[in-house]
Amino acid sequence: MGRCSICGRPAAFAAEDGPLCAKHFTEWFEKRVRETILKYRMAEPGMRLCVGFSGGKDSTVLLTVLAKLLPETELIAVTVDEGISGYRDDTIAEAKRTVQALGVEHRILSFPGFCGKTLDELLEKHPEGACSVCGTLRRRILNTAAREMDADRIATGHCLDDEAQSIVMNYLRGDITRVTGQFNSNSADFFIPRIKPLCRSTERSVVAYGLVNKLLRPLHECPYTKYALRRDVRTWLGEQEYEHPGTLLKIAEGQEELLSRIQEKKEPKMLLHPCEICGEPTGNRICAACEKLNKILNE
Amino acid sequence: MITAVFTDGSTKETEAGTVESVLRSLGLNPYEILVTRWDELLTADEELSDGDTVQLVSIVHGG
Ligand SMILES: [Zn+2]
Ligand SMILES: [Zn+2]
Repeated sequence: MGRCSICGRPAAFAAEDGPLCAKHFTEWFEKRVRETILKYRMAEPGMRLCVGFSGGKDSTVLLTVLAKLLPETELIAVTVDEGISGYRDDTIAEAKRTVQALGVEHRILSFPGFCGKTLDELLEKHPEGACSVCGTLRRRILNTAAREMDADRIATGHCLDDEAQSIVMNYLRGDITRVTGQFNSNSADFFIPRIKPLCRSTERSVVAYGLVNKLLRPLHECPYTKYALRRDVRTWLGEQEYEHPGTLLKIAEGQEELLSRIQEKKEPKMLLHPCEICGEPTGNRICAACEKLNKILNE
Repeated sequence: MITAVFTDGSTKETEAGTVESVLRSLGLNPYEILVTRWDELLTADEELSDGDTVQLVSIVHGG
């Protein structure tokens, strides 16, 4: 049997740097999230965070960890009720229990409240578009809610697996616009910034944290089928991560490095503007040609 | 034999072995499933003995 590499008790989780017991795994997981929040400057004391809280595994862990790590940050949990019969009622009851236990303010917003129809009704004719319709509307509802509550950031439970899957899918689709991050350049002017504090934590570690800390009860899964490409990529990346721990992190950090290198190249060395004399572009008040001419003519 | 209990309550029986070999013999991707016994989370190399009952939790998210 595996033993914790720190204290020798029975291991609960095989972390990249060795097996860990429940207690040391919990500390390790929280440290990873704290480092992620600090590295990407996701939150500061006094901020108000709107936390997307479906009541599912990821967002339950997210809300619990944020409440623990950020005692000086105001959290408001927002649950969007899509109206998916046989799935949503359970998770909303579960969501209510979690926020009560954490003492976090909670708001529940529904698809019908936003557009007059449940997701089931919206998808009657084209159920294959479920995840895209659902995702787009949830995003919008969350954005509106965050603006109304004057939140500084929107926090979502996306984890490392989601990020690595999206990166690989962009390559598989040949979507170089997204690979190079040249999409939505001025979106920051219109949307409250989004943060993903679990973006450097694997899905496996997120669910393991929920289990060892007794946060999760067995829940029904969303009945709508996942987009086929993501499902295949997920299975394949999961196998890679299992055989070669750290693969998902390398994909995400590799992408980050790629973007930062492109950014250096994209950013002009100096900002050009028209020369005050001739109007040609220059980095100074007066272009080199005019400066030289001036010097010569005034001598 | 060991008994594997799925989230929906259904069960399957399979030969004893490590957590990983049990998951593979059930045709499951070991990355996507976490296994608990008596409420304790187990690592993939944990040996399961005859008569053990384990809970399987899928990490794949549905919302
Ligand atoms: Zn330990
Ligand atoms: Zn000039």
